[in-house]
Amino acid sequence: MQNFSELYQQYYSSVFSLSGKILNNRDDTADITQEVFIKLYQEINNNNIILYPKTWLYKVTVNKAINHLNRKKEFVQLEENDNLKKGADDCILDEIDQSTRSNILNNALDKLKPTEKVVIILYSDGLSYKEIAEVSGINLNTVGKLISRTFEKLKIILKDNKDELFD
Amino acid sequence: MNCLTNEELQLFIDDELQQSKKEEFNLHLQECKSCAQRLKEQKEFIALIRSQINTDHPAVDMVPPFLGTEIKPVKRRKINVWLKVAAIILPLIVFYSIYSNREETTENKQFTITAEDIMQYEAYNTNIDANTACQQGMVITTVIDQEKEKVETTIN
Repeated sequence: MQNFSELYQQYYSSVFSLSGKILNNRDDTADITQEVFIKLYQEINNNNIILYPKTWLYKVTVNKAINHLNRKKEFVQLEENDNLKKGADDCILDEIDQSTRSNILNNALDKLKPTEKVVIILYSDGLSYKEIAEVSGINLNTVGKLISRTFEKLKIILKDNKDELFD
Repeated sequence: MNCLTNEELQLFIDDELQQSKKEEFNLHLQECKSCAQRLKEQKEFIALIRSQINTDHPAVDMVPPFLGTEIKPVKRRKINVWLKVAAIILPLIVFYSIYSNREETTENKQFTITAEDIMQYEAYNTNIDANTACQQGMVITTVIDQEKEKVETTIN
C-alpha cells in the first residue's frame, strides 16, 4: 500500500504551484490543493494503486482547476484569424518592470482558453509532450501544434495588453 | 526546402522531431537567416514566459499538515422501512382528517340558521305572514333539517 504522507510531503509543493499558476488566486489554490490530496487520500484508503503519482496528481489538479475556472468566469474568445499573423515578431515583455510584466502576463494567460492556459503552464513546468498529453487529456500528436499556436496567440494578447497599458 | 512553420519551429526547439527531419531543419537553419532569427526569438520568448510563470508562482517552502482526514464524510443513515411507510401514510391521514373536518363544518354550517337565511327563506315562501315577526317581536319560521324534515325555529 502506498504511503500517503510520503506522497503528500513529496508532491504538495508541485501541486500547490501548478494549481496557483492555473488559478492565480491564493485561496482557490489552497482549496484545490486540499481537494486533490483528499482525493489521493481516499484512493489510497480504498486500496487503489496509483502507478504514476506525479502524473495522477497533476491530472487531478488540472481537472479540478479547469472546472473551477469554468465555473468562475467566462473566457474571452480571441479570434484566430489575421490577428495571429500581425505583431508576432515583437518581444513584448522585454523592457517592462517585473510587477507590470507579471500583471500583463497573468492577464494574458487569463484570456486563453483553459486548455491552452494549462498546456502553456505544463510546458513551462518542464513536462514533456507525452506528459502534457497524459495530464491534460489532449492527443499527443497535437501537443506541439497547440503549444505553437497558443504561443502565437499569447504574443498577440501581450502586445494588445501592452498597447492598452501605454496608450 | 521551404521555411519552417511555427509548429515545426516549436517541435525543433523541443527536440520532438524525427532524426531525419531534425538534420534537414538544421541544414536549413544554417542557410536561412530569417528562420534562424525566428528560432532565436522564439527561444527567447519561451524562456521569458517560463521564467515569468515560475517566478510568479514559486514552489512553497513549508508543507502544511494535511487536514483532510479530519473531514469525515457524512454517513448516510439507513431509514427504517416502517419510517418510510409512516412517511407516506401520515400525510394521507392528516389530509383525510382535515378534509373530513372541512366537510363536517360545511354540513353544520348548512343547518346553522342566521337571520339572513330566514329572510331569504321568507322571501320565497308566500305562506309566511310577514306581520307575525312584528307582532310577537320574533321570527317564527320553518327550515329543513338534516333528515329532510321541516322544523320550526324562532329567532328573537
